[in-house]
Amino acid sequence: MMDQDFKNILSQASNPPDCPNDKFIDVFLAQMDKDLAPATKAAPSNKMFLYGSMAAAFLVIIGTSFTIGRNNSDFNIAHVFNKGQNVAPYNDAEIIDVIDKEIAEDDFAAQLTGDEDISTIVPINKTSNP
Amino acid sequence: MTSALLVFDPLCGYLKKASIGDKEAAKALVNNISPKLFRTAYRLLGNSHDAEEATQETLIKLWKIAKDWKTGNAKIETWCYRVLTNHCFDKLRAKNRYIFDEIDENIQANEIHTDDIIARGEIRNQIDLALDKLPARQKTAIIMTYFEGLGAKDVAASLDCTIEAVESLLARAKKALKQCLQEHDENFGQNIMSFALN
Repeated sequence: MMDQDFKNILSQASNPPDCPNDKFIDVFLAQMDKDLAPATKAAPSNKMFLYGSMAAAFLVIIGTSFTIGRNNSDFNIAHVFNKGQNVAPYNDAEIIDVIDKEIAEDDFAAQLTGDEDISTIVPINKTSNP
Repeated sequence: MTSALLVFDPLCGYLKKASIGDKEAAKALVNNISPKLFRTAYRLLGNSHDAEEATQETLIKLWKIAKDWKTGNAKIETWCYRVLTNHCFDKLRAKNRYIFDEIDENIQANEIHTDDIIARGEIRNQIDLALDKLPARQKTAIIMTYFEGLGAKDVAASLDCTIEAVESLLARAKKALKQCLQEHDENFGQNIMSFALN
């Protein structure tokens, strides 16, 4: 039997009923809606996450700019003051005078308590104001 | 290997658009593919209800994998035929309607009851019955090749076998059909052919 003959014979077989396309489309679209709906419902929570992220980023930016601004503006007074702590409030000559005066007072006190030879006492006023 | 070559599939665009929610594309896709699937399922299963169920299930499965579909790997139509035929085979197995073992195919193909055909008395029904008695894979090969016009390559992909296996299935199916029809119509050569050519 030739292939064409075979085709002709088969063409005489009964035909299937009409395809219920609309039904298939409806079910397909319903399945689409069902599966795509969770993504749509998830949108609000995604938005909340987005808003939260934006708020957090805003706070970070504000905080950072505040810190930077503080280091580079009039707030620097405090910063300069901190640096100033390392600088002596008096000049060297004044400090030496104070130390010499304290040493002389200590010597005089020691002589008064008998720790040293009292014969060598030199009145402090005479030393400082001859 | 030819299977490694990229395949152009016009339905792929519809599927991609449908996967992101384009309903018009989804309608076009279903409109294009569902009649072929339904016809094949109907011829395999023999009733509208089961054919609708098989087609519907295939389309839903297609939707489920739409987002992951790799363009160029396979034709959507072939993939659908494969899913559909597997579903139909499962259904037929559940009904014990067909014996799938190759050894039994020839026996099964020849077991057409004369009474059934005579009672129906029409060549159309003889052909239907003869087709109905074919083993499932032979019948599927016949349906896809002669009713749906698929090439051997697509039939092979749908049935998950080689092209040679498809040719073998077709040859055995044709032989079995011819024998079946001849057994119940001594004038097969004249009657069937004259009916077919009219």
